[in-house]
Amino acid sequence: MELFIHQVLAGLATGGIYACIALAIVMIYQAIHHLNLAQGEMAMFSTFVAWQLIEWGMPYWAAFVLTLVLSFAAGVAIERIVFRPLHNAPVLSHIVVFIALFSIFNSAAGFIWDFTIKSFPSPFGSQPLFEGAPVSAHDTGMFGVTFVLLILLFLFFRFTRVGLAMRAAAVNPESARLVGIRVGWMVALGWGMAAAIGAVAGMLIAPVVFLEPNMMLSILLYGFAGAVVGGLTSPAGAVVGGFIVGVVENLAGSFIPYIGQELKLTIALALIVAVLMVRPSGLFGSRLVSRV
Amino acid sequence: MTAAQTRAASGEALLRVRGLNAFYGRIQALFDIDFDIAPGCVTTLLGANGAGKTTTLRALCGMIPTKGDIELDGVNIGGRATEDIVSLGVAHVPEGRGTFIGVTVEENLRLGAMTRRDRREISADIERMYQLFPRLAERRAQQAQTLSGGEQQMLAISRALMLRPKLMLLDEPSFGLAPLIIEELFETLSRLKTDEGISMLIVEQNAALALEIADHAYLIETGRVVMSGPADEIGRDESIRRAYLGY
Amino acid sequence: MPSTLAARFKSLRQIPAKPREVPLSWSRIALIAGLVLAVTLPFVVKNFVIFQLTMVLIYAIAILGLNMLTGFNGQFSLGHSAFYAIGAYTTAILMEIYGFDFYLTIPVAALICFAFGFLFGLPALRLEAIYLALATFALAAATPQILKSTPLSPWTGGVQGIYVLKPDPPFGLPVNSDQWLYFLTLGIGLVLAVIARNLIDSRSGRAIIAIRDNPIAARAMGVDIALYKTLVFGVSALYAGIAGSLSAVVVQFVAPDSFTFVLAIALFVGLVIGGVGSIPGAVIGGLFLVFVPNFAEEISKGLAGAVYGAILILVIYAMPSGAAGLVRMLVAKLAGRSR
Repeated sequence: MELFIHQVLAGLATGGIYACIALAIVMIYQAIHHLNLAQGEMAMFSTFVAWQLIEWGMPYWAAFVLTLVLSFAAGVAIERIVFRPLHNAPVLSHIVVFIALFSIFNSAAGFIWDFTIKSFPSPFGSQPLFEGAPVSAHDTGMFGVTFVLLILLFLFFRFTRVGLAMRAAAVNPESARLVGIRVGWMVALGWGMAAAIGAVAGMLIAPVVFLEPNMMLSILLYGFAGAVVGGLTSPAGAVVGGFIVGVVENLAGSFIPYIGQELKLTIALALIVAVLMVRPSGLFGSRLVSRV
Repeated sequence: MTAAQTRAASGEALLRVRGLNAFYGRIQALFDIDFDIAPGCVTTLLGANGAGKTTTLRALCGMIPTKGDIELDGVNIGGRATEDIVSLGVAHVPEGRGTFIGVTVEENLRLGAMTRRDRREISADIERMYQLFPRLAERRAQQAQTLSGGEQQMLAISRALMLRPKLMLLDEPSFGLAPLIIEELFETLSRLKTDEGISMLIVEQNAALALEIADHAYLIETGRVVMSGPADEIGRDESIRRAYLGY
Repeated sequence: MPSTLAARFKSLRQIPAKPREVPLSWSRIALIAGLVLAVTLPFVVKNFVIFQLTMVLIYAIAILGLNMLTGFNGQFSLGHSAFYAIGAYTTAILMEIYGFDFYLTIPVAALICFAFGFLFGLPALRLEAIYLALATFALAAATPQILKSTPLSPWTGGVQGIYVLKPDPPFGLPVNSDQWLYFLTLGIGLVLAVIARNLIDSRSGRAIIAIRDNPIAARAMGVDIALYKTLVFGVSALYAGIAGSLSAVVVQFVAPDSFTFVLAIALFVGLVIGGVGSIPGAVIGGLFLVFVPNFAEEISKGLAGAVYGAILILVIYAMPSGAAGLVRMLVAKLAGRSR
């Protein structure tokens, strides 16, 4: 039993990472109804920018904030420059452009900062939360930041004019135009926010997994899993989904004999498919009815 | 029509449309449409399915590519972006009501006032809408997609009114509604016309209903205006009724 | 489904079922010219280029399979590397462990992949576009892990993989083994392309396309949607499996890390670049997959990935509906001018 609790806590700690990235995924899904395959690479690149700023002697929190601002601007710029000319192109072409961005960010990061592993500082410290605790102070801090982010997002979408406009633009762009909302800019704003949230995720994850251009590959997949398990339409669901995936991954690794450890990823992915079988819109997602 | 008359007419018109052509891709849907809407009046576009009524409304709002002049209060809005046209005071109640799902009734109303900055006035207008349509007041915190068809139509109209529009475009407001609800809806529309002097352009399948409320009517066939005149005259003309309106 | 999503996915539906706008005589001339070129090339280029061209054809076969699924049936897959891997491993294991003749392993690989595809198609029935894309992507991500896992390693060789011997040309044909594999792949590819064309043109093909365009209407007309969707998934996997099987002997090596999600994504890119819903487009997609990454590497070693990405974006700008879409548009323009 003690092992079980220990593993659940450790799973929650890794789940925090997935929750963070799942939140960014859901954010952009809300704004553009696409899953951005390049999301992880964008987050990785942002994290490198923060690392560089810190290397140049900037204090952690200053670098943190500046990175957020830069990432937001870059997200908006990508939408305006790369995707705007494509807004009439078929959906499959959009996915190809995501793949292209993935390749560009991965390659550019490797070129600028090379592929050696770098350590990234944690603002909370990596010591255990208390004597003998399975979670570290950083894990707890990460959980806290994700939670605060979630609340801020909720408040933004629920109570601000721009948040309402973004929701309207996402659910019904034509109707949104008819009330005077600049839908193109709302989408760009969604990109900016997703890039900034991704940057937060990257900076929180980097102290745990270390910084290198391929750090996000598997994390992104778990993030997708979390987002899907929770439901792509629900930011809170995504966070919960991320934690679930983390816990399941950890428990499978330690309690399924023989193959558990080797096939952690496979088991986590089988979980997604299983959840989708039972609830095609995720645990907390709302089923949107399509009209013919 | 002499030049002087034309000028006089344009001086009066709230909306003046001349030589309007519209396209779906390479297919032309409207051909040199001319019409005027006088301020404070209800104008209706009548015609069969596929005649180009909805297309005309979409063209006015810049939702499809157009050629020709569209003047609102003397400002040319032809070729402008939908968002700009809306902020100049054209509210469009689209086909299918354009309900925002996952958004509450009250938020839908706030969305209607998206281009306005006067916070206090917006809140006052929301209350006014609730007086106009008490049923929306009961459902203010409810998600808009849970409303009945009639309630969604009321919501769409009040969302359009939240803009404080110079001109309101209504696309098939009676579509899919029960006769009693339609009656109630059109009573409200005519009250809006008489009490608040809101100019409207209504597209309707149900010609009899539209002619009852309208001052002026235009008949459209395959993307062209084939006839126009005061609504009561059009409604009285037996041959038009039989040929075009089917009642 | 919110209206944006519906609208965006509608763009997928607008792909013409059969690009008949290209005049028949022209497309026949292009086909014959292409075939002549395909037959003469291996006699004038170096062995390495023959290998590359064989890979083009192998990718084209896999893309063709993906096209049946995505282009004609409207189901997404970012996971076809899994079926490709199953095909490759089937051939490698049968040849190197059980001593099968290479040619016998191809139909076995095809059948096994069909079965796997069919089975994966069953849960896929419940998933809508974006979730299906994710589920298949998950399949692609899990494949290398499964191949590496201990229980399977007696057959798969674990991380080490399996070396495969190239078969010699039969009947004393006056070609070397690279040329022979090229012609074998070309022949199989042509047969598969003809089968694909006939399938799409048949009654079943119309049902398959109807499911893509309007599932509700298709159901109303009595089309067994579940059966067709799973069958198409199976056929699509079968094509990918044959491609994988051929690749095992052409590359002479199979290993888990050759079949990561990168391959799945590459096939998807090839599909879109070639043209969704176009059978000849698959060859263009194959050419892109083999030669563009090399080209990018020649421009800049360190930034090869970035150059590749930039080329990809430019290509999508130039032809948002792929090469087939571009050809269709050009033909339409030319026809319009001559009229």
